[in-house]
Amino acid sequence: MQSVQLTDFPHSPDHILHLFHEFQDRDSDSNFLSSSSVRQIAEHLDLSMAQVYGVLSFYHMFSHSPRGKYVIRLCDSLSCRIVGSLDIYTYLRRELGLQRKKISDDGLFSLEIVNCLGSCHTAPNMMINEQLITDLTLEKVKSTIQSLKEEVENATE
Amino acid sequence: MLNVNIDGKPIEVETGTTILEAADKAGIDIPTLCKHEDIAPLGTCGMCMVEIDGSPDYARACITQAQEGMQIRTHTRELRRIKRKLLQLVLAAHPDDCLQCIRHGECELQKLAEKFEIRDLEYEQYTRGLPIDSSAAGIVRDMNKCIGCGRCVEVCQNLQTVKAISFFGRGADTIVSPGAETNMGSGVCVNCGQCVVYCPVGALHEREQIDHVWGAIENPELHVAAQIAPAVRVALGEEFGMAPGELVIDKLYHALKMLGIDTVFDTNFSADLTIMEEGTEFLNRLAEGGPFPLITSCSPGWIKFGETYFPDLIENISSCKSPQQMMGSLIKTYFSETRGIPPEKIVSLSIMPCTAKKFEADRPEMNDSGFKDVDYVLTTRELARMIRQAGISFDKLEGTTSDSLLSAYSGAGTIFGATGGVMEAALRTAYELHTGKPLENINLKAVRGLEETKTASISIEGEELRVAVVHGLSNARELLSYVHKEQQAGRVPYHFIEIMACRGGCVGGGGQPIENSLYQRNLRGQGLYKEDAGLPLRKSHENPEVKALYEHYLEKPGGERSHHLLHTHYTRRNAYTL
Amino acid sequence: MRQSKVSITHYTMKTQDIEAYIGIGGYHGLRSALDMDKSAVVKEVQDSKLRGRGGAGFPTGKKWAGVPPSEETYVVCNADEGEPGTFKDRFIMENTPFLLLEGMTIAGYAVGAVKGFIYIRGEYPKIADTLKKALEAARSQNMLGNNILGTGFSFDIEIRRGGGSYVVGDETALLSSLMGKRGFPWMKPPYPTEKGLWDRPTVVNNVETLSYVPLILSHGAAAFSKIGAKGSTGPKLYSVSGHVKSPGVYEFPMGVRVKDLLKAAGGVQGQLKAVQIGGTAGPIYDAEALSMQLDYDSMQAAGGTLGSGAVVVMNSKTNMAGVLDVSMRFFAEESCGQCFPCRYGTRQLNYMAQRIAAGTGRQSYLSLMQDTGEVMRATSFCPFGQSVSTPLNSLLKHFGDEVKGFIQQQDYVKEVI
Repeated sequence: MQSVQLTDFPHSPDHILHLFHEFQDRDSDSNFLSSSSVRQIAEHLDLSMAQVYGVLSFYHMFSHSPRGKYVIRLCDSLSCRIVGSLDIYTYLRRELGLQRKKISDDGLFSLEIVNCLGSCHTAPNMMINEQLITDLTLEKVKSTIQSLKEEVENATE
Repeated sequence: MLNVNIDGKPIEVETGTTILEAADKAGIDIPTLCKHEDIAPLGTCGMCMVEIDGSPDYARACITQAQEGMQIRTHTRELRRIKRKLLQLVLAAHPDDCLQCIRHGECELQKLAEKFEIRDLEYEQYTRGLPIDSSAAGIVRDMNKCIGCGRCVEVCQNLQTVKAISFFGRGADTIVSPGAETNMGSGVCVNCGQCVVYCPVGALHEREQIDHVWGAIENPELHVAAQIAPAVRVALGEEFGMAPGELVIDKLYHALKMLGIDTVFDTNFSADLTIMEEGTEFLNRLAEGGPFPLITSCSPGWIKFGETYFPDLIENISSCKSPQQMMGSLIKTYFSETRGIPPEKIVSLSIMPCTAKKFEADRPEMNDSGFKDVDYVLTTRELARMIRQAGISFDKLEGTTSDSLLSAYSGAGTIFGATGGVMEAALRTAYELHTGKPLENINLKAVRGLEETKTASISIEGEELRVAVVHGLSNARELLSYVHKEQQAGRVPYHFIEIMACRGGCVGGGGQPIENSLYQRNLRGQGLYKEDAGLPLRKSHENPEVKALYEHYLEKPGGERSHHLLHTHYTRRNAYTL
Repeated sequence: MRQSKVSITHYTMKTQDIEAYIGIGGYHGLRSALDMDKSAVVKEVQDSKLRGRGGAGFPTGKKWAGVPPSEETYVVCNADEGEPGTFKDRFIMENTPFLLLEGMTIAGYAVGAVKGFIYIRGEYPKIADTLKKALEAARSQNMLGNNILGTGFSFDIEIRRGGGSYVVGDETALLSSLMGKRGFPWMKPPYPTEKGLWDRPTVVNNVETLSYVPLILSHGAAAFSKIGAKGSTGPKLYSVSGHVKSPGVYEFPMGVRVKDLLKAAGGVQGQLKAVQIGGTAGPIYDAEALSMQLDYDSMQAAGGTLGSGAVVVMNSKTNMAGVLDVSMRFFAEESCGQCFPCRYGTRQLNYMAQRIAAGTGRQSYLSLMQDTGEVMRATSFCPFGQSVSTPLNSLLKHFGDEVKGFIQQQDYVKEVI
């Protein structure tokens, strides 16, 4: 994990969300804010640990526990629901083995439901990390997951 | 001034008054679960909704200012209906184990449920199944019971600036927490317990040690020696229907004996002793030119706060142990030797207004007697429970005396329990020891009372000594930040500073009876000053048992034995070390 | 990606390139504004009768006029587009970011601000990058930064990303978040225009609102106010999604009828059953919605709200218990948790809606849910909790029988131990 250059950020609490994004993005394998990241942010902004965790835990996009390398944010707003988001949700949970677990066994995926990704004309939608994927069908979801798995396999070979 | 009408009752109030305050003035009680008289309005609970003529929406009485001519109704049929539903919503998320709850009978939610006749819940009840955090020495955090009013967060963040707890999570899952991987024991919590006394329910409470104490009392092998802190004697009576500030020390001695405590001492004695040691330390610093300011060390909440947030000021903190810990080490040495009871057979128990004293007693360095100086700390509330368990009618109890050796006290010792008391006691003695002349006016009113920061200057033989007294850790933080800045600029803004973690001093401690507002704190403080005024001895150095202690055992204040038994050291802490 | 369709005005100028933008008349509004006294700019916007496009519909010029003089005034663009069914701000920022920057700069000039923030929702990372590039370009053309266009007016803009929270779309909650806190709304007054960011006067305007400002300054208030309906002037971007053939963003004069909007979106796929207008907190109508006029006053008169201008179309295959479930889950997950009624109420509503949708609901739930909504309307701290009863009651009014069908007919008998 690369480190975040804290000196680039002013010592002012209004930069906290930015720091959360930075630290979380650098932890590209587990997409979360470790207690060590939180401590660095707290020290830099002169906030207490409780204060930083308090802010972190308020926002959906940040996690204080490890997640998969790919965080799938599946939209289940009304616009997505009425064109099939629930089927995709059921499929993903089964396919990735996430009925009872938070992270898939291979450590690659975790699945979250979000309430709108602001692209309702292309519903159903999901985001995988920062990438918006639109006009989902089961086939498209299947192939997207497959290609991510292959990408990781190829990278480790 | 402006005029409003509440439930048909006309009332004149000052501009800027909230509807809640106006109603209170009119003698009308508007229910609330989040508003507390000592804390800025939070507006979270929604129980204080009122109807205002001409307004389409209900208004929160706690944050809505009264306006000229307002016609306000507080308990219409519709308001009652809405509030009953709202209470049901809260209760459905709250465990229904009231009978086993530490706050049974003193719970604001329970009282409102009773007031609004909640007999059944239409909603599905659910529990959150959260683990109970009992990692801290003084405070237990049970978030299953939390109703999320936010008082504790407000108190910890803003009134105390300890910043140990925050809201965590959101929506229905919101709790109050020191963080995801921190618990109350490992974080910056100083155990002051102010969150506890402002919690409306049983979500935050003291860690009880009653069972251990009963065990020690009932063990015939063990000798239990107890000490009673100054602030307890003007508060314990409230648990038995007496007025705040009423002095109950003689009943208290009697009750402890009835409980089976073998020897009853008084922390007021070691308060006097503290003055001898701290006064000497101060005079030594005067002779050596510093370092100044000297800061008092009696309040364990302040000590941990100082170690964490002002580690650079550690050398300014008096090396004197607190009166509790001085007494503890003397019980296991001087008392043990005098009475011929081996220290391992002695259980040292203290009765304190304070939850942080539990933390202090557990500090690893507090074993200079070779044993744990203080084995158990009971808060005022816990002692009241024991007295009830023993079936003692406390209010009807005859008085009795404490046991000699470590019990005699002066008025200076008793005012330790109120903000400004340590400073006043110290100056009474320091002046006389330094000048050899009696202090003309021993009532130093400038350092008394609930004003947040009190300063005074005293002339001792031509030298102008500047002193400051703060209570409440936000005030301490402000003062110390100033001191630190001045120090770095090579200036000494004050020579002597008294810091008490809790507003009002120990009388407002986290272990005191749950109704612990500034109102009660003020009356309790006055109770102590009243006792002081009526005592034959007013100055610590006149205490005969203190004199005897030095004569027979310690030799002199600041001497070698004193240093070993009565002084301590501090730890630089890092707010970010888990 | 399907193309969004726009009918009338300047949104046709799709450009992320500043020179091209200037080439088709971009920054004409800013130049006009800088030639004017700043109070005249405020007056122009007041005269245009532009109302806030974020949902509340507050007159923009009136908001600006309420800013007291201060050394330090801020303009904040609310780009936290979280309202389900709404994607118009995304559309503006992706396609014509300079329109927003120009509008914001004009706002900065008009209210005497030195600095602006665009608070963009965390879920729009690519758009945040687009905006950052646009800011660079604007600075390079001296449309932003020190001494803009040599007029002595200096103003700059910073992008701040959110972290995923619906409630932060509320202006006071947004300011809490921008200052690095939990996104709790605060009680007004004080209004942000008096005491906002760091207690300084702060104007918070929605992306779409600011994007109409250049149009007003370049064509004049009169031209703008001629468009639209009484009380709701100008054009408006409507987000149409759900069961229509061509979902997208459509620009129409305020007051367009729903049926005309749906026609532009290619018509309904299948048979129309329900329409939700204004976002999740808006009512759910049956086919009666077709004749409604989409402007602030008409919608209010019809007991609804224009909200963000989101129109979600549902055809006859839509399961209304599922709609209830999605709606109540949204409220439960997005409640900030600050006040009791919303924190506990949304939790119970979500629970009951889930049970109903799963076929295990109880007969008593329907009235208990409506009661709960009423309690929340009366006692919640902010509009979020107050508005739950709107979709709830309207859904049950029009589709109550269908929802009842999901509830086992037998009344649940409480187990007596």
